[in-house]
Amino acid sequence: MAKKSQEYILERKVKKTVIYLILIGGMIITLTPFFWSISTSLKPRAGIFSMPPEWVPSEPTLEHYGRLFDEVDFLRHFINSTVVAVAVTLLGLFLNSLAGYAFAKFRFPGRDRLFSILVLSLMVPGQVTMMPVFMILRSLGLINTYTGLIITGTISVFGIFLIRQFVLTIPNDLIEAARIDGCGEFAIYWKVILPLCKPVLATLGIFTFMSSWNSFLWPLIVMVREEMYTLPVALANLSGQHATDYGLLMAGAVVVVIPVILVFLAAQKYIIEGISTTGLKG
Amino acid sequence: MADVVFKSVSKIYRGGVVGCRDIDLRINDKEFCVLVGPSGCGKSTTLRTIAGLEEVTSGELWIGDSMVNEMPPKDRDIAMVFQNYALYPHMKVRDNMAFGLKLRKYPKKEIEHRVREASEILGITNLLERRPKQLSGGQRQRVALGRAIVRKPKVFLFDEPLSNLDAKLRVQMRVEIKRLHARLRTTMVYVTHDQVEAMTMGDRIVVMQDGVIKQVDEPVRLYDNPRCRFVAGFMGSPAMNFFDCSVSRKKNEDDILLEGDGFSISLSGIEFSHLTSYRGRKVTLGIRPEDIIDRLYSQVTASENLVRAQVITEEPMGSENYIHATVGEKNRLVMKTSGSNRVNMGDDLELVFKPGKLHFFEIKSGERIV
Amino acid sequence: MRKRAIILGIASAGLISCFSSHAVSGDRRELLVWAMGHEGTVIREMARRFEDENPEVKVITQAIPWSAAHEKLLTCVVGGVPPDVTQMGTTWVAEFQSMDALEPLNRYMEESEFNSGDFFESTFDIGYIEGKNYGVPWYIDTRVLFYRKDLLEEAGYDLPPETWDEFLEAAIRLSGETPEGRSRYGIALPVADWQMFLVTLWQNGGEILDVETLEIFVEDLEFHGAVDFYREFFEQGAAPLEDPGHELLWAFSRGIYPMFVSGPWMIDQIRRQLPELEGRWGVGKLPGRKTRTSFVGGSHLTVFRDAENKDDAWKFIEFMSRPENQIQWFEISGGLPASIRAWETGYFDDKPEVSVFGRQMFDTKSPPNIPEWEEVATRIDQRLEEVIRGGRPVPEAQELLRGDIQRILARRLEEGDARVILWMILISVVAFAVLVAYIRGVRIKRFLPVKTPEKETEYDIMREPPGGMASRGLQRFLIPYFFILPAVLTLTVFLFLPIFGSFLISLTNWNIYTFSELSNLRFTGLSNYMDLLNDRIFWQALRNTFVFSLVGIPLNVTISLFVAVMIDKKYISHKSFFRAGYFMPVITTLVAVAVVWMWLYNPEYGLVNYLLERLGIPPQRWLSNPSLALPSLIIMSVWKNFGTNMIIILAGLQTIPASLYEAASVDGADAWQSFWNITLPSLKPTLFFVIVMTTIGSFQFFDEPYIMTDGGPLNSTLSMILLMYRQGFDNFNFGYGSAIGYVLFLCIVGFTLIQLYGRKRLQER
Ligand SMILES: Nc1ncnc2c1ncn2[C@@H]1O[C@H](COP(=O)(O)OP(=O)(O)OP(=O)(O)O)[C@@H](O)[C@H]1O
Ligand SMILES: [Mg+2]
Repeated sequence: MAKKSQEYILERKVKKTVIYLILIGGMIITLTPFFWSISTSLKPRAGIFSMPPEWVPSEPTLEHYGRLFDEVDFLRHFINSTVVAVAVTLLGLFLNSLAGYAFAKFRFPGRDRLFSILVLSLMVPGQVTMMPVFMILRSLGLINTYTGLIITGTISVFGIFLIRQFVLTIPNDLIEAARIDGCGEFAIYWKVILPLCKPVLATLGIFTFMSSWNSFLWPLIVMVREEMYTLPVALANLSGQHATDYGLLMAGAVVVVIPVILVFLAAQKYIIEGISTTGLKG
Repeated sequence: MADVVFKSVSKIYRGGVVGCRDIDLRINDKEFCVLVGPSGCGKSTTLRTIAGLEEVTSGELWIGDSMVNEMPPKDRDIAMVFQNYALYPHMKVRDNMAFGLKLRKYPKKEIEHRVREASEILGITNLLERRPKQLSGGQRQRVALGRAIVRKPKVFLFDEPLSNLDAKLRVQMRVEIKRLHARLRTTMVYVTHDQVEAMTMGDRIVVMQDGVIKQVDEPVRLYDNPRCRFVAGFMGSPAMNFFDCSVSRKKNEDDILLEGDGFSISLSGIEFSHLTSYRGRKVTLGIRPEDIIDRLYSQVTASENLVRAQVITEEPMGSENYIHATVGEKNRLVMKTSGSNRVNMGDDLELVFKPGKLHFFEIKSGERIV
Repeated sequence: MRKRAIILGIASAGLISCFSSHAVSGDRRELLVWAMGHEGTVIREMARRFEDENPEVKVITQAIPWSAAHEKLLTCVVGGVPPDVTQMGTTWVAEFQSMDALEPLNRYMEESEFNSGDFFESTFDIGYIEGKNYGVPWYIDTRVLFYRKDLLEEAGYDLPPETWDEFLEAAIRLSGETPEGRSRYGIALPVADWQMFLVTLWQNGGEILDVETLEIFVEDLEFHGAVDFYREFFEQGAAPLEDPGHELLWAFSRGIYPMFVSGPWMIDQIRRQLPELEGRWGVGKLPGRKTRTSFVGGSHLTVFRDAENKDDAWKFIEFMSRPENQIQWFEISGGLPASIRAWETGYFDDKPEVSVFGRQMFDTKSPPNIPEWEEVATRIDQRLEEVIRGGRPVPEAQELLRGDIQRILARRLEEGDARVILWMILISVVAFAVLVAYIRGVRIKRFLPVKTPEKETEYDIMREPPGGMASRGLQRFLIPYFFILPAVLTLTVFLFLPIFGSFLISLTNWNIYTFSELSNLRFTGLSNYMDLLNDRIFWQALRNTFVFSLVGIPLNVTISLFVAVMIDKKYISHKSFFRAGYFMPVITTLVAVAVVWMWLYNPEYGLVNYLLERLGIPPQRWLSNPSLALPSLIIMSVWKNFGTNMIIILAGLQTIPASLYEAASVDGADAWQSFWNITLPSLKPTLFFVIVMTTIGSFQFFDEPYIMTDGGPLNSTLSMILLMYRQGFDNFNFGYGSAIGYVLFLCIVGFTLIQLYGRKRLQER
């Protein structure tokens, strides 16, 4: 008997080790591209093409990062990206939650139909509307402006949908209590609903930020002039000009990715929660 | 003056669902008025029309000297305690209580003073820095009360505030709310579906069914003189027993003979004269469990008017014992006896209905026969 | 509370203070110059020289990646914010001219010392359209023959072939096997390559069409002869019928391809990458028949009609065209001078390989100068491939091609139709009425004679609005509308109207000609949709999209399921560490990912090939081999996206009660059995959801091919959306492109309906 249970314990240990090995191995494979790009970005120009490849640069250098900010003015693109992503996120949280709240908690003529139209529009691939939207922006004189990029990125049907689902779970009692306590309609939203929505706002906020930060094609089209490029556009541009300057490109890729990774690590909990409850696609 | 007056108020929801209908009611200043009735009867609706959370469809609603049909909740000077407490989860207890005052721009000092006062009354001073999540049900209930108190409103509204508490706590809070009323002397309207709560707390009780008021009266009078079969059955626990029986005149006598399935009772005396007009017809006889006496255990010696019953089961409660029994083929009854009076299943009992405690109702309308 | 207000304030401040795109730069006039790719960077140097000469002008240069150049130019024209001077590929000049976007330069030419005779005629003519000059050649490139001297000598040739017969014979003789045992082909000739074929055609005295009269010559004998000659290489085994997928230079060095035809950039590449071949290779003029004509390409400099600073723009162009600056440019960028006088300076005399290009330039032609050329070229490729691979008889192919071209050209002759406006109004009104009726809740039943009794609406307390309102009357009624107003208004302007607009566009012939002249617009009903059905490329894109889905989704789901189950094991600690690690690719910017993966996939220095080589697998051209490109993208996309599904599945796993597993282990199930009998069945709804989401995502497969392969090679990674995008932004066929978009939309809607149905069935069971 004792022998059997020992065997059992041993077996469990082996199993555990094997699974750990698999998981760690998989993770190494998954993270290799990251590691490789960081490593490349730190190699001096000569070392990049060395064969066999060096995993850890023997004489690391920041020269590529320096060039990135000297020659290409990545700082400006960084600012562009930040302005747009931050504005889109904050404004989006505000307006989407306002609408989501109204769809969840008010009854008004046309509500459900309007909402179903919103949901249907989720299925139209974004690229279909690109040209008409561009024309509209143009007639509003918003080509090549932050406003143009922000205004088209702020409202997201998905965000409205997400907030609505969440607000539905908030008991009506709270709203009624607030009404009796003396809140006006906006105050109810601002002082009661908004604080209660914190978890979903966090999730949505992070995702809005990330998708705005990461988006490429639309900023490429709207931001006609180089000084208005966002980071991904600038990076794509860079790779078009310096197709083989891998040190510079990898440095660019690292700079583009690092902010999102930081945001992600800081807000991991919310992202995972949000994803698992809503199946939100990144 | 904070009377609440309903002048034939109706609330019809979208799709024609009747919330309440033709409510005529005056709730006096400083009165503790309880709305009671089965689930879905419109108690909450009625209460919420006072709060302004539902708009009345027709009729007039007055609080004090103003007609409030169109007045938004915040201007009505009322406070409400919800069944689920409706405390703001993101605020500390202190802020929950102060919220209404802050919105009304009271000076800071005043707010602080009132919060302290209220929390002392309710004994929650040590909870002020916590969040609702960190409180027990009873504590939450107190905070909800506190939130209402600090506002010093003209009218307090309670919507089943105790139904989420366990039995013991409920009794305790019952007393406390009552004490609060004694102390604050404001109008309170209290909704419950628990008739015990209604009986013990209300200065007056409003019994509702299907959106209409069935009876408004002081508790004891309601108990003794229910105006209809519904009210009679609803108030009291265990509920009143009902038997259908036919009314006839005993041969050669003035006495009235009641005959039902498995029993017959003859009644004499002028107090039953109102039944004479029902001779040859059927009526519903009602008798409360405590008004049924077992011949064995009592001094009653009469051999007349005995009702034979067979025990189904008993529910011994310690101080008293509820005996369930069948009478005749289909009739069932519950009687309340003293706790020492134990029976076995299948025992035959001989029972006496206290003659002065019989209630009679029309079969069709359920109206009391007076 | 206050903090929130401040944050919001900052956001709106950021919104309002949108930087102006024109920086003030003192009193110097600004000149904005766009150039593509590498040229966009090094043109800075020329700009500096220009500034030295014209201190009152400040040149701002902007580099545009080649892959995005076309849409960038288009959007800046449409958006009304064009640069002053722009580089333009030779085939694009006609396109943009037909959009009426370019400024004719004749006036400027006459007023300055510019002399058009200084340029090679063939390239100067590219800018000459409908009697006016719209561009000035900047640099040229043409095709010449690259060959291995040593191998040719082995085969008995001291000099490169000069005539067709010699050419073919040499190619056949050179074919066989390399010393390493690989198949050797005399020449690296693609099966379908309109540029090479056009050269053959010209050398045979043929033409595709006449630009002025639009007469089509593809049924001529010369055309037939050219096809025969071209095909001969493949029939004799002198060129590979199926691309073996070698990297060109690598194959050149191994002698797999002793000859190939290419442009000037190859000189540098061979020198750099194949130093061991020094002295064993050479460059020669193309062999010929009636002529030894080659193909001319390169770039022009043009001025947009809407440019702000046209005078300085011309100055800049004139500056760039001077012989000394042309040579400068060659030194900086390697771009060959378009000016004959630059070649005559003697600068190139000591550069034998380069000067071959100069000589070849006197005998060059460019493809017909019509805006539809890219489309025509696609057809030529298609028919050529049918002949060579599919064995279609040449005359039949000629006839078909003629039809193709006629159809393409017919578009420019199409008359506009004013009735289009009526149609648009009609459709809009109907659509609007339907929309309003829908929102106001009109039921179709109402129009039916028999009225079914309405079921009592269920009363769902959660959806019921909380009672009361803070205000009354009209204001009360309006409050929810105020709340949704900003969102709905924005959506209307930037989503609903555009969706509807592009639907309207899909019912018209909206193309390049309607850009310049809106009256060319015609209502075409569903004909765009009909055309789609006959479009080979559309089917190919559809097929690619399906392959991408059918391979990618199972891979994605299996991997994410596997990883999730592993992480979920109860004896695994550090769960969040693993979760975060595997999720990392999801959050990263696709552009960055693409850049990194192009580096990984690099055929020579990439990590992937290096690792495979260690395993004994020969290096592959991951992204440029037609049969590998799509799988390569699939792998990358799975890597990037499986984290999402993993997280969702993990959440699903959490909802399986532990008691189920406990019960199973008491019953004696091993890990595998409990996976099959408990985990999988309980995960069904989650997996279902995951599959649906992944499928919808892969229908919209776009970013990866757009950034990494541009749909190539040979359309092997072209997805539906990419095709739509290309049709719109490259070919200006917005009507056609929108139609593709709506077909895709229908696919997605259909799929979602199937999903809903499936879910219902799943729940019923
Ligand atoms: N918002 C509403 N919309 C439509 N019908 C409603 C709404 N609220 C309540 N009702 C209906 O009105 C009737 C009275 O409801 P009310 O909430 O007043 O009952 P109640 O007496 O409070 O019951 P309970 O004891 O269960 O709380 C019920 O039939 C209910 O279904
Ligand atoms: Mg209720």
